[in-house]
Amino acid sequence: MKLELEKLAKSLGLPTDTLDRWIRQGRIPVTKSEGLCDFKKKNLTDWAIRHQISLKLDTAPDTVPSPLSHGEGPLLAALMRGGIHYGVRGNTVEEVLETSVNRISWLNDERKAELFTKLIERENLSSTGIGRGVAIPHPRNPLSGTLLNDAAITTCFLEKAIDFNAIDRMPVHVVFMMVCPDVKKHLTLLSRISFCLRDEGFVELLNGSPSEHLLFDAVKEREERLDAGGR
Amino acid sequence: MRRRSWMFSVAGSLLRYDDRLLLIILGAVTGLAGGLAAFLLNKGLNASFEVLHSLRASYWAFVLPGIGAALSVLFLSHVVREKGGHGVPEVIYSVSRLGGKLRRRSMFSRLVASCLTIGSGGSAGPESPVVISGAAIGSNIARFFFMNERQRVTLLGCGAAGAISSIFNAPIAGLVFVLEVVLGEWSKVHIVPVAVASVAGTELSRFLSGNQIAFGHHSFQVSYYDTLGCTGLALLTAMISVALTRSIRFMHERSGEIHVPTWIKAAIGGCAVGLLGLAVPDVLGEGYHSIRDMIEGVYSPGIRIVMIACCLKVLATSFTLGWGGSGGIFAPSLVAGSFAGLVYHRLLVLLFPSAHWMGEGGYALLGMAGLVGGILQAPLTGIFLIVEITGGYEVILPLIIVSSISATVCYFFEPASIYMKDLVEKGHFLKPGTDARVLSDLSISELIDHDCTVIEAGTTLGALVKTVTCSIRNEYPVRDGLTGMYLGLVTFEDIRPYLFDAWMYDAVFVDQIMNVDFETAEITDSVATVLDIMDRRSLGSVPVVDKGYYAGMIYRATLFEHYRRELRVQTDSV
Repeated sequence: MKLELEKLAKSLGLPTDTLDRWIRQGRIPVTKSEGLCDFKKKNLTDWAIRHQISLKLDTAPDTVPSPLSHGEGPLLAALMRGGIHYGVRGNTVEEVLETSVNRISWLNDERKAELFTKLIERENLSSTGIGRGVAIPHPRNPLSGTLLNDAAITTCFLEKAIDFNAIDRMPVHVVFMMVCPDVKKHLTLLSRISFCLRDEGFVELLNGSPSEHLLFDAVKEREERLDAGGR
Repeated sequence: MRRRSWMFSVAGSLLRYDDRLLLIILGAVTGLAGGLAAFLLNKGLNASFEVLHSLRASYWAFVLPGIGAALSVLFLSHVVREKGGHGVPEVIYSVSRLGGKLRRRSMFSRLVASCLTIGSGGSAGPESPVVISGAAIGSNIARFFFMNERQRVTLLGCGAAGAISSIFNAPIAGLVFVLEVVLGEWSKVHIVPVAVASVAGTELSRFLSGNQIAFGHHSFQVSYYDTLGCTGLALLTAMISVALTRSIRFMHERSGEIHVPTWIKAAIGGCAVGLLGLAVPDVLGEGYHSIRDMIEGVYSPGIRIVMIACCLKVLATSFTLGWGGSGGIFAPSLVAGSFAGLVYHRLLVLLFPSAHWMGEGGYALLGMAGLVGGILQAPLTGIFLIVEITGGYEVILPLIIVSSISATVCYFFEPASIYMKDLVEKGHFLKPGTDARVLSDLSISELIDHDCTVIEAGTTLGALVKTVTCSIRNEYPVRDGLTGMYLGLVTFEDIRPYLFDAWMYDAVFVDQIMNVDFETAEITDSVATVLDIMDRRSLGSVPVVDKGYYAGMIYRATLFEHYRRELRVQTDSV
C-alpha cells in the first residue's frame, strides 16, 4: 500500500516530522519510495497495536463530504455538508424521519437503517420538536463505526406540517436532522440553531421554505453576529 | 543509479515485509568482509615485522616507532583526512548519534595507519583498527542498499564482529564484544545477524590462516585456592586498568599543550616508545609473542623485570596512543594483563609457597581477562575472549571472578570506559531506550503546538475576554502590532481576577498584564533544554520563539505523550 507522508502521519496521529524520522531510523515497518510511504497494511496494523498507536487507514464509504467553501461558521458548514431537501413527504413522525433519512446520499443502506432506528429511539424518549415549527431529530449517541470527520445537518422542508409532539404543540414543517461525530460538536450546533431560532426574522424565513442561497445567507449573517459577541 | 535500481527493488521488497532474512544474509557477507580486513592487517603487520627485523639491531632503532607513528599521522591527516585515535569511540559515536553512518575511507584508513604505527614497534593493538574497518564496511553495505538506520547499525555491528572474530579466531568474543561494547544493547534484532557475521569472520580466518588458537591450549589444574586468590589479582588489574586509562588521557592532554604539528607529536611519542623498547623490548608492538611465552610458563625474566615491564607497557601504550599514534588498546591490555598475572602469581608463590597454585601461565590468562574486563568495562568480553583464544575452559571460574571484580572496581574509579569517556563527557554517548536518547531523538518541531491564539500588544482586556471564549488554550502569546515580534505571554491566571469586571474591559490593555519574564525556548534548542526550563521554573508550557518571532508553544502534557510513545517505539523493535 502506498500513501503520502502527510496522509499516513495523519492516519497514525503523528507529526509528519516524527513519522519521517521513524522511517529513517527504521522504527516503523514503512519504507519510502519515490516520495511515497510504502508499507504492508497488516504489518503496520500489527505494529501500531503493539505500540499502542492508533491507526485509521480506512477511508470510510460514508464519510461526510468535506466543506464546500472555507471560512463559514460551524453551523453553516454543517448545513452545507448535509444538504437541503424540499417537499419531504410523510404523515407521521416515523414516515417523515424515514423519508428524510433515505434522502441522505452519503450514508449506505446499513447506516441509514441504524440512523433511523436511533432517531426513533431518541424521539421515544422525548420529542425533538423544539417549537416554532422546527424539529431537530438526532441520534443520542454517535453512529457505530461511522468515520464522521465532521458534523452534518440535513435540512428537510416538509410537504405538509405534521404533529411532532413539540413543546409548543405547534405542527413542525422544518426538520434539521443532525449527525455529529461527538457530543461536543452536537452541543455547539444545538446552541447555534437555538441562537438563530431566537430571531423572529429567521423563523419567518423558515416558514417560507427559502431557497438554499437565502437560507445559507441568513445562517451566515447570524453566525457572524454570534462570533462578534452579539449575544 | 541504474546499477542500483534493481538491487533497490529486490532489497526494497524484502525489507518492506521482513528484513530479518536479508540482514542475516548481508550480515554474513559483512562478517566475511570484516574478517578479510582483519586478515589483511595481520598479514601487513607480519610483513612489516619481517622487513624491519634486520634494522632493530641498530643503535638508532628507537626512532623506528617514531617514524612509523609520524607516517601514520601524515597518512591520516593528509591522505585520507581522518582523525587519529583508536577508532572504537568513533564507531560507538556513529551508533549513538549518526544512525551508524561511517565514511567509506574508514574501511581502510585505520588499517594502513595502524600497520605503520604497530609494524614499526608502536605499543598498540590491531583490534580497534579492524573494528572500525569492519564497521565501516557494514555501514557502507547498508548505505549501498538504502537501508534505514536500525539496519545500518546492525550491519555495522556485523562488520565489527566479523573483524574481531577473525583476528582472534574467537566467534563468541566477537559477538559479545559487539553487543556489550559497540552496540550497547542485547536486542534480538542484532543478536542473530551479528552471530552469523561472527561465524563468517571466524570461518574466513580459519580458511585463510588455518584453525589456530591465538595462544595455544594449555591445561591448568585449578584449585579453590586459585578461585580465592584471584580476587587480589582482580584488584591489581583494576588498578592497572585505571592507571592505563588515566595515563593515556594524561599523555593526550600533555601532547595537546605542545604547539607543533601532530605528526611531530606522534614522532616524539614513537621515539619515547623506542627508547623504552631499548630497556625492555617486550613493550614494543602488539606484544603477542611475550604473551605466548608467559602462558607457556617459559617467560624467563625475574619478578622485578616483569613489574618494570608491566609499568613500561602502560607507559609505552600511553606514549603511542596519547601522542597521536594509531592503534587499539586491546592488545596492550592483554600484554599488561599477562605481566600483572605473572607478577601476582610469583608474589603468591613467594608468600604461600606450600599452597597448590596453578601454573603462572594460568595467572597470565586471568590477568588478561582482568585488564580487558576493567579497561573496556566489558566483563563478558574479557571472559569469553580469554576462554576462546586460549582454548582453556578449566580456568573459567577464576576468570569470571577476576573479570567481573576488575570491571566493578574500575567502574568505581572511572565510571566510563576508555572508549566512552570522551563521548560521555561531551554528552555523545546515548544508550538506546534511555531518557537522554529519547530526548535527543525528539525535536521541537515534532512537539510544537500552534493552537494558541496570538494577540497584539494594543488589544484591550475586553477583546481578550472574547478571545478566551473561543480559544482552546489558556495561554495567549502577545506580539508587537508593528514588527510582529514576540513580546510576552498572558495566561488565563493573569486575567481570571478581572474576567467579570466589565468596566475594566476597555481600560486595560494586554501589554499591561502580560508576563515579559516568562522564559522562552529557541526553535533550535534541544528538547532536553525545554524540559530543563519547565523543571527549573515549574512551568506547564514554554513559548518557542524563532529569531524573536513567536513560533508556537510546547506543553508538558504534549511532551509527555510524545515521550511515552517514543519510549514505547524505541524499546521494542519492529
